[in-house]
Amino acid sequence: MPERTRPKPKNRFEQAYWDALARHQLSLQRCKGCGFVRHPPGEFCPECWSGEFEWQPMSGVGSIVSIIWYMKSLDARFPEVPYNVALVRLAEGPALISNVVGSAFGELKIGDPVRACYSDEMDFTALLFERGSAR
Amino acid sequence: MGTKQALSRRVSIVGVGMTRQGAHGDADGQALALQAFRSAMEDAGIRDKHRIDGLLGAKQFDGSGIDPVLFSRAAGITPSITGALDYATAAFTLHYGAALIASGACDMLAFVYGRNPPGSMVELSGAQEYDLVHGFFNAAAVHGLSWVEHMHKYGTTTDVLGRIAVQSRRHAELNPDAAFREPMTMDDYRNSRSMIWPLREYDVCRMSGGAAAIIMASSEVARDCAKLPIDFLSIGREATHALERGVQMSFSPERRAARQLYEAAGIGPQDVDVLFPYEATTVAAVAALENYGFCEPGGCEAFVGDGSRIGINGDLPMNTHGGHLSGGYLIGLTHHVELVRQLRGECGPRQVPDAKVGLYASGGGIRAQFYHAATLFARGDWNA
Repeated sequence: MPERTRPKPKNRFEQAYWDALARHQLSLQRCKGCGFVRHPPGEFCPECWSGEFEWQPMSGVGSIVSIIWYMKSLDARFPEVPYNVALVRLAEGPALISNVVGSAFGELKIGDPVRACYSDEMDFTALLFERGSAR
Repeated sequence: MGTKQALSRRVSIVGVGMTRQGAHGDADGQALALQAFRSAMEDAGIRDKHRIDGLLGAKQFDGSGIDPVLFSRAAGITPSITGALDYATAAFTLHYGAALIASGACDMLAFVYGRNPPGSMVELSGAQEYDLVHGFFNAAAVHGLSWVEHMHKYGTTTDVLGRIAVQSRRHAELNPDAAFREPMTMDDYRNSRSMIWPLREYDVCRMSGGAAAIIMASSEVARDCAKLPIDFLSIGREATHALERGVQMSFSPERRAARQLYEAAGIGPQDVDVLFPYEATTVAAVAALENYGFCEPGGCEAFVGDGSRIGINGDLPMNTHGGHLSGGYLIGLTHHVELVRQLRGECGPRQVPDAKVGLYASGGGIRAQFYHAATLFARGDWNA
């Protein structure tokens, strides 16, 4: 698992996303104009440019689109290897970069079902995933 | 859908110059760039440096690089247009320069770049930070994600990446200006350290020092220059949707950039004599084979075979100078220097027989998007 570097929210929408994660809730903005669920958070919908939206709690389930493993530390901020970085597509549509924890190298593959979990180890909450279907 | 129109003025590369790539002690990038600029001006036979009326530099994500204003001062020239793009690897900047010439804003323009980064010859190149909460950094990571998808979808293996790495090294052995020239075998590749799985040490290019310069001119001005001008035939560009849409980034089956490139030039991949993919990793090189129609999607491993096909005497010689992987990373500029020299017939032991048409193809991830930029170049008698 990598050491984590504190996120730096660039606007109040990103701040709201991280605030929700701190409550162990993955919420993304759903556009009221066209229904598109967007990530990263922002003021306007990238599809229809509407500024009307609601925060929609996500199911937290998804699947692995692709996954890589850092086998050698290439950056002093991330000394602990191996760890993976995965692109996870949520059931609701958007894909997120995260880490799939609790599985060793070789145990994960494209298409595997994953579900959200949360890490409060640092002074912020990180969204992670673990292998498995909806609880 | 309209077809892109030809440029209003033809544009040619009239001079190229570069330093040796590799260890350069404590030399600074701008001083190396000035050496490369001087040799490119000599190559073009331009005695009056004040004929340069446009100067482009390039910066890296850490802010280092060549500032075109500071460089102009160091070179004692006063170009009327200076600039450096936000995303500036070679094709992007050369396309900008070509547009400045085609529009009539400039007649003769130089693109100069040099670097001598900390960690030269040792550290991996590709320093890009995508998501530091999750430890997602280095351009090789994005290529890795793409390659894992490719292997899953087509049953390809990392062996094809090894063939690329080994063939690049063979070419570098023939190039005294290349940074990494010690012989390498497939066994060396297979036994090399896993860095960002599935990519190994030899899949990812390393830092090195060096510089290169390209002088471009309108084709009328080019006639007065010393060497055979190499013409821009066409350009192809494409930006993909962002990573969070979950799309394949390196491999671009829609091939919009390729279609634009070939349609504008009126030729196809079978007309390309020599291919120069910009490769931060070996994945980018095999992606170019598929994206630009040299083989079918998923067909790169069968196409490359034992590697001889992409060698100097193969069907499709590729990165004959050693590429970034063995030649040294310089944002695609050494690829252009070599391409021009190949089409002029100046490459000695690594000369591709009768090379007339060259393709440079790059794809790069910046922030969360992926861009493709490619150029077809040819010598004037290519379709004679």
